[in-house]
Amino acid sequence: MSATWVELTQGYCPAYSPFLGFMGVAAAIVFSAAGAGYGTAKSGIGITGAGTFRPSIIMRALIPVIMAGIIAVYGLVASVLISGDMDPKNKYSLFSGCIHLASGLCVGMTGLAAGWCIGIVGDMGVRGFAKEPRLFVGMVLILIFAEVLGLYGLIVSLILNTKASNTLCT
Amino acid sequence: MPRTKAKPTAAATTAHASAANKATATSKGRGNRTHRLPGAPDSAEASSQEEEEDVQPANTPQIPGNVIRKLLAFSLLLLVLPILAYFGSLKYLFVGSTASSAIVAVIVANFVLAAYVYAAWVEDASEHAAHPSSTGKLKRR
Repeated sequence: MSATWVELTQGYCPAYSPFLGFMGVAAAIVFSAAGAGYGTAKSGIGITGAGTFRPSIIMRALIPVIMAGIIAVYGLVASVLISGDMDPKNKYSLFSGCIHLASGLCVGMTGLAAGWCIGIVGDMGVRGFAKEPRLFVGMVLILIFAEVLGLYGLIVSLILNTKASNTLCT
Repeated sequence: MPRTKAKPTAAATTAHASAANKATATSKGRGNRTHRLPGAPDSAEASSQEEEEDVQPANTPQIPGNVIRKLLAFSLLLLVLPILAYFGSLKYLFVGSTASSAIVAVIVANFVLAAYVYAAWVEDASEHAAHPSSTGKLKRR
């Protein structure tokens, strides 16, 4: 098991490429959870405000919270997917490392954007919905479009992940 | 303008206080007490409540039990089903193809969301049927 300095640091499969892969795993869940947390918190403010004078709408007003949870599920699925490809027994190429980093960042940052949007729209949407019940369909449509942003990030992340290959490692 | 409502709401709430907990929560929140924060002390209501019954102290949660059960059920479903779908389809359906399993997990998660929106919508419709006047818009200004 005598790896030379050149083998370890240069070529297609250097020793630091798993770092990039695991940063991808971390980025996927960390950023999407951050977005989901902001979405839950901000829409929770609106739900609490609206629920004090209209408690009967609470079940419908929790829809932004469920959608923010789904953004976190996207990040979770992506990070499980990426970490499933990593195995210390196999060679791991720099190409796979970069792909996994890109994959994690895609789903993470788009999840951040989607969660941010769900938070702001959920907050004001629930407050308006408490006063005007016909706003419900409009609010749900805007929330669906916000969540689809996270879905696009997950789709790109999945497509990237299928391209990872370690065949060039000796 | 809210002052004229103090007496009838006090009577309404004491009448409801003797009923079951679940029934009072939704009917209290609708229409009658729209301009009063739950934390605001109302001496007439508090004293009459304490005189009549000990069933409902001043700060019991105003959410009916079935709403909390539904919420818990959906939260557990959202937690468990997508991951189960991912690993299940990875093992049995598409052996080794992780991308397809992830797509299945995403579809399952969106199904849970659609089921929640449907359940909330149906609950709204049944409330409308039961209390047509009190779930209307707030126009008391």
